Amino acid sequence: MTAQPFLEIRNLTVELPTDSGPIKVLDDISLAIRRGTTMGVVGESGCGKSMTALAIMRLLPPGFKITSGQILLDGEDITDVPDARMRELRGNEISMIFQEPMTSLNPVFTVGEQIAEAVRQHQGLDTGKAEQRAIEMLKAVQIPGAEARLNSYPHEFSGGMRQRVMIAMALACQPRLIIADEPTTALDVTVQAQIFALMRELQQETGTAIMLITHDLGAVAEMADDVAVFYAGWRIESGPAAEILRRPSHPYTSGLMSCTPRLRLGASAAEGGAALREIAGMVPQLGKMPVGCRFAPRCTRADGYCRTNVPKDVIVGPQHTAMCWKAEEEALA
Amino acid sequence: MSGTDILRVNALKVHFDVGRAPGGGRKIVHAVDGVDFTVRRGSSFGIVGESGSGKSTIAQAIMRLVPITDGSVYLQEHQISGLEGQSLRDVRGKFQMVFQDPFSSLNPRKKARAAIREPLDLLDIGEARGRDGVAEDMLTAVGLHREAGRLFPHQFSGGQRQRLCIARALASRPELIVCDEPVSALDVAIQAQILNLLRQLQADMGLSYVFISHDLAVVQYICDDVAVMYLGEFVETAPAKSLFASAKHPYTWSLMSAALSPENERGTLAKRPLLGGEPPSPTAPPPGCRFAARCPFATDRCRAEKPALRGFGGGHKVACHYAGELEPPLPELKAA
Amino acid sequence: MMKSDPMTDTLPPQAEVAPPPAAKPDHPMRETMKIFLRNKSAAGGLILLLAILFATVFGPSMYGVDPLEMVWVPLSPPGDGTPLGTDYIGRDILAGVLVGGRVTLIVGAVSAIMTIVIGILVGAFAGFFGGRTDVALMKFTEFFQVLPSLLLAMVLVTIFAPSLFTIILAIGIVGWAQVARLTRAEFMRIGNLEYVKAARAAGAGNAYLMFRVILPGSLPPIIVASALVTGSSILFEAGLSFLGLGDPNQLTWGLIIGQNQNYLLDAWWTVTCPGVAIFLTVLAISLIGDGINDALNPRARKRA
Repeated sequence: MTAQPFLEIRNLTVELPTDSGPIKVLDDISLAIRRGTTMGVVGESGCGKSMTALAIMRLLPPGFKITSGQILLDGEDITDVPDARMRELRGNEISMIFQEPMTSLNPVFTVGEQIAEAVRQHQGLDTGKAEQRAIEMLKAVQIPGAEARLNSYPHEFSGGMRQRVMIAMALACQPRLIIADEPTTALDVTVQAQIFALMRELQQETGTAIMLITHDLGAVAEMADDVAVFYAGWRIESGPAAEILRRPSHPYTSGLMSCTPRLRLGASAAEGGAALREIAGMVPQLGKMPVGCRFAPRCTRADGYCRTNVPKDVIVGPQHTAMCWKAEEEALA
Repeated sequence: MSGTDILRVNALKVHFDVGRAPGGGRKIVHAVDGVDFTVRRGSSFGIVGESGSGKSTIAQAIMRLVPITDGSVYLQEHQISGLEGQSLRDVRGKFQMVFQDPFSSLNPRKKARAAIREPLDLLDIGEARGRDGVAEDMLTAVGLHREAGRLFPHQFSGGQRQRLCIARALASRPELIVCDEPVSALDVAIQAQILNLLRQLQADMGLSYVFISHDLAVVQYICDDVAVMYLGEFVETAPAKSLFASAKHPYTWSLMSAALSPENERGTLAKRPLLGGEPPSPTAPPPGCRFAARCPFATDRCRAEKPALRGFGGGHKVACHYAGELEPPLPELKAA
Repeated sequence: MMKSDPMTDTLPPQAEVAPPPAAKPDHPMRETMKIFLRNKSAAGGLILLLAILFATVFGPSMYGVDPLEMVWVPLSPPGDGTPLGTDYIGRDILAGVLVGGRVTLIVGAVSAIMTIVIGILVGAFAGFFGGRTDVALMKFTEFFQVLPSLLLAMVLVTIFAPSLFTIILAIGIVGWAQVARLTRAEFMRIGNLEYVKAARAAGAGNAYLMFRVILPGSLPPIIVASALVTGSSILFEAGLSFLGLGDPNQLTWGLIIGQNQNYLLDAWWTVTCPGVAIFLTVLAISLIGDGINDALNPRARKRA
């Protein structure tokens, strides 16, 4: 725990310049991922969770700029390393798995060629060794008949198998961090379970760290050691996953918990089941952020002070911080 | 049909011809392969299954958006599976649909009010002059401002768009609404708002729903009766309470085991028996039980002989040769 | 009724969920217009085209010279008695360019409209109904696409005697295939969107779906294409006239060039003036087409 985290983001701000002044898409984000662990990043669409991933990969869409903060990868600030160094890091140190496995594979090359190409480029293996490695990887992600499937094209695989191929590609260069952006959202539940089981197994074998971006608190409970909750460009709560899911400090996190429908099986199914709580209203639009706490307009506990003052990130428990005036009051009490 | 039923679906089959098969003959997708169910007035009937199970095809067949290969669909006394043209339009107002994706299911060129009154215009329901008023009433019924009718779809958020779609489905005062994955494209917080809205509208207006979803928890929250679908067929159908208390089909169990929950311990899935593989192709369904290839309990009998839906009392029916004899893998189900 | 609902205890009245009604509804077309006019080259093209239209509509009566009359010494250069010089039989070039523009623009516009209407109809039926209808219509379209268009137009005009009507018909017949392909692709794309299914579920019939639901959505690329088609129709007409296949009774820019082609080296103005007129018109239309494309293309729209 005391060791330096593998990836540390310090006070990262990403802005998009517009006609009416710059918009802060990410505002002063800090988080740290320890070696060999999984960090769940949760939030609603547009909260900045995918933007954080793209900032780490240096793949921000045109116009978006990192205006302050640091991204430390194993102690090295990668916000301003030369492009050549960044290309070296992508693939070797960090790789990414996307939501839609169909569009993230190149349809005109066989999966074997695509995996082998990645290995050749990043690790300088010759063609024969690269192919050998591709077969190993397909076996590692439990694709039946790996040798034969090497020559298949992406469209010949089902959605779940394609996502396995994506994971194989991501793992091929033995990266120390995998960023998985909603890796199972496009998949069926039974296939999702398979992919999660596979990711955990591979993590235990290779010791890679995982940043799991998801909207599903259930996925966080299943996979994550730590969790960071995002809301409207802020990271509003972070800490150990077990702690946060049991005792959320931020009203938004507890709101998310109570609006997720739960499956009630066995004896509890016969009872009527409580009505779902809602979080009223919706996420504020970028560029029209409230003055104080960005969650205040939807918060049941917000008062006048919350609406006018930006909350600080305060420690509310061991390794557990939250950006909320009310949480701070409680922590002090 | 008894007076309390609003919809009755008999032996519904929808097959799609998708071109020539490699070995000669035609390639036929058996999207829906003989399903029966009834929806009681004022209740919600849920259909759960994975992608490719045919659940959305049932929705589209009821709405007459895809050709029905065989079987019949009755809405009250109307056999809607046999109607065409004007006679179909005459009853369309009684059954409407809400789609999955609120971004693609609204015409970007139509203002909200025009979108909501469109069914009234098309079906010629009510006085033309009063239709804007009806549209505005519907907006308030789904929790939007009356004035929002003047805006275009792109000016609404995802959740608001889904409210708009619901308002549009409500405009013709239908008795049945077919909801095809109405919340799966929405964020969790918004999902809860829409689910509660659907429940509340049902209570206020006495609506009946056919509710299609891949999410068991959502189905449990909304539905009174549930059918679990696999590869074009119902494998288990029961009142919701009975299904979630004592599911009997191995496929239903595997859906339940794969469900995630924020309360679960880390690595819960790893301790559960998980289903391997993926559904076989619906173009050439296996001769016996369609689930046999993935079922951990399957025997030679399952692979050869097709199980029929058998009753287990209280309307609980299961299509499995060994239903009731097998040990459920989830402890919660054993207790019941 | 929502306020009293016990299950939604965290909810303020739902009406507050709605966005504050905007002062003016932001119509997509209005926004497109704004983006279009902010684009300098597009606005320039529009001004240029308006100027050309003004000149051809009001120019002849303001200038008052009969373009068919011998008014001065043949082949006299610009400024020497006439503003743009005279042609080989002493007719005023400026008068010719002003009057000839009318027919040229009409031929361009009418044949473009014909091209677009045929193209949209064929493409719409092929894309909407698919299957055998699609196969048959697309084979038919391909037939027209593989024929060398100028040759086909020449044959048509020669068979039916060169008149304004046959020229328009010829240009229309050889040009529609591209529009049909484009329309078909758009109909297939939009036909699969859920709002089309939603309209059908609401009781819409085929005609309503094709022309009231899908067509408006597929118009943007068709509008861009039609700007280009108009430009190429004008060039086509000029080409035909230049080859002597124009209607000899109608003065067009192409005809002026065609009649004076032998004097190109001795009297450059006879050919250059109508040539520049064609160039400017086609340029203006292309700039407008590009501008519309940029304005309709969502990627060009910078929205946060």
